[in-house]
Amino acid sequence: MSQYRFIHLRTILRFTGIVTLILAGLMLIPTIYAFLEDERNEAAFAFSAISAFALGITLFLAGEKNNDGMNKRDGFITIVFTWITISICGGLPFVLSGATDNFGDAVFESIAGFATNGLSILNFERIPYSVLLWRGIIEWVGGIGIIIFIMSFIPFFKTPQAKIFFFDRSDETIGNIKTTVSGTARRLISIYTGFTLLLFIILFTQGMQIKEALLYTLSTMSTSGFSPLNGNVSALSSGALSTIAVFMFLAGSNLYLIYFAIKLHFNKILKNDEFKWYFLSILVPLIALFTQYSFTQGVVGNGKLAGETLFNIISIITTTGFYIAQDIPFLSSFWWLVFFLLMFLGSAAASSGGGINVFRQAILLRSARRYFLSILHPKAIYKVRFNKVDLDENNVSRVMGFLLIFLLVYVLGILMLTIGGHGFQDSLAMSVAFLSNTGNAVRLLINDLNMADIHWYDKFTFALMMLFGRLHIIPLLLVLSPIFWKK
Amino acid sequence: MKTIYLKAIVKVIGLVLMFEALFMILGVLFSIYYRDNDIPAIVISSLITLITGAVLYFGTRKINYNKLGKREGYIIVSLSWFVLGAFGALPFVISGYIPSYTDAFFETVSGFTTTGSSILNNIESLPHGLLFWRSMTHWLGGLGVIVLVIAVLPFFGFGGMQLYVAEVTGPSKDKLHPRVTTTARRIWGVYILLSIFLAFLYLAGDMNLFEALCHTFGTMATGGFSPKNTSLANYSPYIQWVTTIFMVFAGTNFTLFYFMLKGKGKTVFRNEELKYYLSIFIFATVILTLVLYTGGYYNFHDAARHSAFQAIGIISTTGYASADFMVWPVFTYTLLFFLMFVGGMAGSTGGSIKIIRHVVLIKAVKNVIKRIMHPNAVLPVTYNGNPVSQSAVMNVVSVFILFLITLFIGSALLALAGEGVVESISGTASAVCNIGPGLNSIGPTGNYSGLADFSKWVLSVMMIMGRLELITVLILINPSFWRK
Repeated sequence: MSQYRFIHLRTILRFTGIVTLILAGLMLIPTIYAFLEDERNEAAFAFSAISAFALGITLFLAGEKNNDGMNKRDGFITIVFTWITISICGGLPFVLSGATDNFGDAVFESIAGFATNGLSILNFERIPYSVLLWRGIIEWVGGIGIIIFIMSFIPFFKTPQAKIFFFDRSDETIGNIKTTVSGTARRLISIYTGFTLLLFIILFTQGMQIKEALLYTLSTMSTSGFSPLNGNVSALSSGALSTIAVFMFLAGSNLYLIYFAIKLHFNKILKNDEFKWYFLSILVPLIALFTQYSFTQGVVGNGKLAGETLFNIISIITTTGFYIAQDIPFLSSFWWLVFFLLMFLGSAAASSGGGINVFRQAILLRSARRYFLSILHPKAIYKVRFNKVDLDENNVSRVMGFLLIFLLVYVLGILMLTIGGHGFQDSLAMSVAFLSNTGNAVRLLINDLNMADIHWYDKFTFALMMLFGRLHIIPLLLVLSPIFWKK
Repeated sequence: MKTIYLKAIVKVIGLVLMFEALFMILGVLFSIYYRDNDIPAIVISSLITLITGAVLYFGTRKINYNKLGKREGYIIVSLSWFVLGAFGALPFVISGYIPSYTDAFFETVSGFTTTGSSILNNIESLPHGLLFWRSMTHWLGGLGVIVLVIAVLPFFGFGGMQLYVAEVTGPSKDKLHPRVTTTARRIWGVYILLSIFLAFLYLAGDMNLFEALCHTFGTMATGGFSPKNTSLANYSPYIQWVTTIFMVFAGTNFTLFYFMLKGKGKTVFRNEELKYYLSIFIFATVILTLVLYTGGYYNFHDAARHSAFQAIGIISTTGYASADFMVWPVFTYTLLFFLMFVGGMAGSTGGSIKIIRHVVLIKAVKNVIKRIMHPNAVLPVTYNGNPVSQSAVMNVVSVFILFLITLFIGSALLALAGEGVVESISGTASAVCNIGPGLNSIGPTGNYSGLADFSKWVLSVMMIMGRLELITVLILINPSFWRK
């Protein structure tokens, strides 16, 4: 087909079909588990897997392979299609096994999972492990990012044009990244998988039960923070907590840098702008909080407190959402504000974390600094640099565009939450917790969030914000805007 | 770079102080009429200010105004606001009505920056002369802001005269006189005319001369000080509607009135910023009215009146209240909180981020999105039909980022002083945006007296920073500013 087509619908269908088939394949894991453990809900999983398989194969066959004709528009539509399909298919086991009361709740749970948000409406006391495992698997898949899958599968994303995904998982930051995106993606996936296995083994050897270890592994590596106690991990052993903290840190850093670490190119890491910012954005808040606490409470050298605070900071900045219960944020508005700010910041690019992301903050601050310099020296020309590379103005303005849209969606989110009856202060925190998919850690900042009896309107709002956040806002916004549909 | 021309700075500050002394003494007229006991305090304060000013002014030898550069400009502007606050606080302290200097400084700075945040628990217990001076600071602050916007801000690449005076008008024949002094004089003319007009409208309602003048100062300068404890809540609907309309005017670019008077209505209605300004106002009013009316809070007319009043009170950064919005649904005051960041038009006495910057930001974002689909398209941001340079757009974004950073740092400092989260955030926002009331205990029926002294100083600095569009003050902190 040589003539121009507005949308390559069949190619999109084919890709969506492939992803659905993968999902169907993954459903076999809990099916087998349920069968072996005699949990009596293997039928639910089997039926879900069959449905997903049927849908996937239909889409696959309805589609056609067309490697050359994909354009940007197709890419974005594919993302949206894929998300709709996987959210629905991923929700099937929840409703069929009776874990949620209705289909809407199931889809909510599924979206929260794929968006790597630890908030859950599942009732842990009556839910079989196979369902929890499924939720963990969803997170894990969401964590590495559906986008990386897309990068590997759609030809368009193998071309230089894929720079469009500067708004997404990939980014403009990674110094001399390999030229083909799909190569990068493959490498990222293997690092991700490798760390998952490693974490699982460490947690297991530290004496955690195998089922628990698996859940925590999946939640940590995907930075989702889902746990049986709604993210509260205070009860875990200090060994397990340290392990989780280290792996949250790794999961939130640029996975590509870890590739260098494995290759023992440590100076590349130390010279990396993004890593420096990431490291500082954990260290500076820790010092600030601890100093404030020491001054007001007159306690210095409280190791336990420092450890707990460090854990919470890492958890929030990587947008994981595990938390060790601390009452301080309620009592001290300074702590509240610092944790609140951390939720916006987010982790490094090419990690499974959300938020504004480190490289964007760096670029924004540097362009603000440039503004000062340009006032003092109007004739000089300054470039914004990152990792010693001069950024062109388009990249800088794209980052600014992202920030502005992020804030806009954040404000709209707050307004929607207050319509739902949440208080002003709670809404400030919740909106950013959903948008950056920090999830459960918001419980450090708000009085009570009982997910079991929230209103359908709230679920809708939460889900919408999670989706916006996970897709880094732009793709979803773009597909909704009239510009996108103009020829 | 040359060394800073210190002598000139001292001389100008001296001049500013002498002006302040002159206006300060005016309050005595009301004190005499009402037989209040604050006459000696005002006279002494005025004399101290006058003498200090005279010493500074006449003590320095003749200066060459042509040698005044940009850097001196920034220092003079930032310094004068602090000095005005420092001396303007004297009558309150000397008379003993506001015994704490911190409180008096906060109150005066709040006045000069046209913020309107008060630490007074019982405003009506103050004598008339002091109250008149308190409101007067608003009006003087408004005058000062106009000069600032025209003479200083153009150096910051955006939001100054080039953009809002020259380019609002489109074709060059409509250009306002390009010379700074002439422009300032015309805008002042509009400001003074509107003030006189408003004072008469107030007198026609149920206000006496004293109240009418105080409220005129508060409204026209988008300040928000009222000599009444209940702000404008206990006045008639007529007064409230008049205030609403004049708050809309006070937030409008004054040059547009000048064009209007000259019969160039077309240029006015073509103005993009005005369209956005009015749309935001109407949109907010409609939403608030619907929520309040359907929620059963008021009958329809009252709902509309209070909604319009509160909406423009916040948007224009005045901060007058006709009702306590803290008893309204959470959604409504959350909306009002975010309206704080809207601000008036450039060239008005309103503070905050300002409509023009929002317009540019919105358009820039639209372009970013468009460029994703059409990477090679050349899409300049246009304003009133004229292209805005990329660096000007970047400057706007930078101001916005600085704004967010300031907001966070301010909130964190307040939090360190032990204020609550909502008070810290809304108080800082209210100060930086020069609004007046915040939320919860510093809401429309509350005041700032409960805050720690440290918080009051922080907020005072924030008010000045906000009034000077942040950058004027921030650039002084930048080390490379002081480098030779």
